[in-house]
Parts: sequence; C-alpha cells; structure tokens
Amino acid sequence: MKECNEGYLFALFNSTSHVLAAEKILKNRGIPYKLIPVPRTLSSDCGICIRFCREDRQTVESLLSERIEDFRIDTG
Amino acid sequence: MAFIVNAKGLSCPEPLILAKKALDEHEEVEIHVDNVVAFENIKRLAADKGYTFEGIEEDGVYRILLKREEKLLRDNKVETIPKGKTVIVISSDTMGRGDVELGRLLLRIFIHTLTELEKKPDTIIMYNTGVLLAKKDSECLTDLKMLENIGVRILLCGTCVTHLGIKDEISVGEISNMYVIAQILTLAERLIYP
Repeated sequence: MKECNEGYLFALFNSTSHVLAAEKILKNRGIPYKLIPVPRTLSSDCGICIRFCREDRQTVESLLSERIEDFRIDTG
Repeated sequence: MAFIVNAKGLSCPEPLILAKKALDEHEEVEIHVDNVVAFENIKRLAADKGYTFEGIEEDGVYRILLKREEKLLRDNKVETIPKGKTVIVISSDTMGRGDVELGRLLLRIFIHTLTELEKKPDTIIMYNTGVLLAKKDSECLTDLKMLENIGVRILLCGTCVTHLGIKDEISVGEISNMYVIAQILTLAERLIYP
C-alpha cells in the first residue's frame, strides 16, 4: 500500500458481505486500501473495515455510495 | 556411505563444481583435493549452504566430508535447526472451515493483525493451499513481506508449491521441505493453527 500523506480513514459496514462488495469496488478502481480489523477505538456491527488514504475520501465515499446503502466513514 | 569425488589435480572452480553436483545427488559427499584454495572454497560452500564440514589434510591431500541438512536431521543432530518458539501453521487458504469466502477474509485479517502484535511469531509454516498466500497476487503479500523483513521465518511446503503449479509466482518466504517442516513442528513450543 502506498504511503498516505494525510493519514488514514476507515470505512465501516454492517456486514462482512458489504465489506467484500466495497473491496471489489475499490480494487477495480485501483484505489489503495487495506482490510483490517476494526480499530478498538471504533465500534461497529462488523469486525472488519476498510482502511484507506484520507486524501481519497471523496472518491471512496462517492464510489461506495453508488452501490452500498449503509456504511460510514470514521477518522479512527 | 559418503559418495567420493576425486578432485585431485584439479584447480578451482572445478572441485567446487564437482562438489556442488555431487551434493545435489548425494546427502553425504567426501571430496579429495590437493590445493588449499579448493579446500577453502569448499569450506565456504559448506557454510553458505548449511552443510556440515569436516576436513583433514594428509600428505598434501585434503579429504573433506560434507553432509547435507536432510542427512543431519535423520541423524538426529537437530541442534542446527533453530528452535522456533511460536510457530503459526497456515494449513489452508481459509481460516476455519465452512464459508470459504469468509474464511479467506478472516485469514487475511489474521495475517495483517500479526504485523501489529507486539510479540511476533518466530516462524510461519504454510502448506497445502496455505502456500497460495505467498503468491505474487496474494492479498497478504505486503503483510507477509513485512513480517519476513523483521525476522519472521516463512517456510513454504515445496511439494505443495509444485503440486499447485505456483513455483514461479512465489513472492515471499523460502521453499522448504518436509524434513525441516516436521522438525520445526516437533520442536515448537507453541503451535498455532488459525
């Protein structure tokens, strides 16, 4: 994963299948990301989240919104 | 019985080439040379490859006995294999059985989480479809490389890599064999099967 100059953000989902769907979207668009366990400081129904670069926030948010109903982005 | 190679009268690199070739085919090789350069070169080869080296000189002829690691292991001289304190065994490309997609995801997250643990495992052994994690297109590659860089030994079952036809795609870890794997498993203090 490339270095994120501005740090990371976390996309949290309600189910593992949403995580996988979101991953597919980001992968197809070549956006750097990483699946990680949800940081303990955050809470979620699902234990796995997607970490991405803060500078990609807008792209990630709009891409995910097209396909996934329920997710949130957290600053961790 | 050691396989005997007569390299007397030959100068480098010939004795070295003959020694390497013999060791590819035999576990125990005795090589005879008559010059000190060849003697020293074979000594270095032994150190590089992890063979045991015993050499004696008699009337200008050096007799060198080399033993390969597998032979050593069978002779129960196991002290040459580092004792792995914590060994993680990746025996398939999923974590747990049942839902395959979920299992693959869990394993990825597990490997990632290892990079964040304070106490890292000493060794990770991968066999069966577990070796798929070491492929160049593996989602775990970055994390595995990171672990390897900080000293975690990653061993891949060579038979498995060959069976799955992914030898050219392996991008992390060392391809190993059952002697080494069995030895590390039996010596481990903690064996973890995620």
